[in-house]
Amino acid sequence: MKTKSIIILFLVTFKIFSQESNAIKITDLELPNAPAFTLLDYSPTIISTPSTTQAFTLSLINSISSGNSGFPTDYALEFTPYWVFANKGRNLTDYVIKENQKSYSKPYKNLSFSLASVKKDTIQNVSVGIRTNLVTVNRKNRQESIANLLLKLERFKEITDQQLTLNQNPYESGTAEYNKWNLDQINKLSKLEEYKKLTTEIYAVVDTLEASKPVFTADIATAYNHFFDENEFKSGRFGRYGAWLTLSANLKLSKSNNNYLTIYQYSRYLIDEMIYDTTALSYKKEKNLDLGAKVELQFNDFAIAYEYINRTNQKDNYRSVGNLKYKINERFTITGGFGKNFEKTDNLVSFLGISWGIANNNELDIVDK
Amino acid sequence: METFETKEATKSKLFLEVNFDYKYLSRTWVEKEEIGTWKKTTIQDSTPGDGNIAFFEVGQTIEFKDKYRIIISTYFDLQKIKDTDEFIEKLKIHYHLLEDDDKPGSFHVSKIYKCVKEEVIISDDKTILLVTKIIEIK
Repeated sequence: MKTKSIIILFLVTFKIFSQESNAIKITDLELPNAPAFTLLDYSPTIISTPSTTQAFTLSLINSISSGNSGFPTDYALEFTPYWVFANKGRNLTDYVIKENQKSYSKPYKNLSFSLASVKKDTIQNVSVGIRTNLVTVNRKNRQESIANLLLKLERFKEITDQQLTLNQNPYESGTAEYNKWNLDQINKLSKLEEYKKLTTEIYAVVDTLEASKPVFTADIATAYNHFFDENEFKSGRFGRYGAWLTLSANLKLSKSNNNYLTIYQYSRYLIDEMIYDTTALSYKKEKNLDLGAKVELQFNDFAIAYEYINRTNQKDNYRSVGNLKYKINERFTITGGFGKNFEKTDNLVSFLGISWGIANNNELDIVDK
Repeated sequence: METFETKEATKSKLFLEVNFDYKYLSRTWVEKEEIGTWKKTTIQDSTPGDGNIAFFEVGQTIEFKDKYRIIISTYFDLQKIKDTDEFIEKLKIHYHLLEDDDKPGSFHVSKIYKCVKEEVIISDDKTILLVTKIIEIK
């Protein structure tokens, strides 16, 4: 509780500081992941990797800002066709065990498409993006956990078969006596100590698997942006196109928990035609190669990171941003960022916001088909 | 109880699939029960931990018609479910029963049944749910 209070206090202080600045404020949007969004460089971090496989993620982004009406103004939708269209059961076997048994990933399974709509001053941005994971190298102990889980499931099968014995119900199906006999069987099973212990252990293994990060990942992404000025459709024009590769290595800080040190390497080719040249009174075109790195420390639901990206074809043009993230629960995350963006003027990154993630597949209790 | 009306019972077989989405522990057993008696025989069960069953051959239709009913019992572990009433309300299980002759062309009969509240029983401590679908073959 004390830790949470300190974090919230720090975030509020951070926001007050950002409100005092008159430079560029990235105040109204945040989406850590979707390529359609990160292409614009507006978010506190542009170096990231997908965290989980989800069929659909709709993100509504809002910031803690005095001038905000309370409704999110920016939206991003990301979906993964494999999980949307493949006739895969979203169940323990398919989703947890089979996906974790593989040492290496299959790019088509992780291929995702994203759309984003972002308003910045009078500019309305519309972006589309694609990304996929090229390689994932899982930890050795992940395979051991799976083997352990399969053994426990075998024992679970034996216990349920032996205790329920539904085929020995001595009454004709559909009768009240039949149902009463079955009810007695499930009541007995629910009180069995071995059953309770075993199911608790199974869920503990599943939770560990879900929280475990791979040793190494390589992800590629590409995105295109079109923008409109002053709410005029005819003003629409090309804004940005980018393609990037993100490599990440996760070092576990201790065997007993899921705290990680993550090191990222980032390379991006970017065509940018969003910079207005006040001398020529037109937008100028730039082709850039960005190279960067990021270090992130994750302690349970709290993460702190620093990223530096150098625009290699321009002198002294770089992005240097520190950011932090606190996951309140599976759907709400508080994110903050502070630092310098690429531009030479109006380049302050200052952000505190909450993102709402509405994800299908995160909670698989029941998914209506 | 549901009724499955066959069309070509002498030449066909029955196939069944049990399908639902559930992240936590579940299991399914498929039994045949001789009509008028309590005698039951397990003909298929699911893999450990996951109650889904892919299409499998139940048997020759003629052997089931007016003689045996199919009982499909699905167990759900609810220890991780906070609101069991809401869970029961939203629960969707698809039982897909087919009559087919294994020859190219459409199925003789294809029917998808869904679970209903009356088929649900829950343990006193609300940690185990059992759904029983009974299908008579006519």
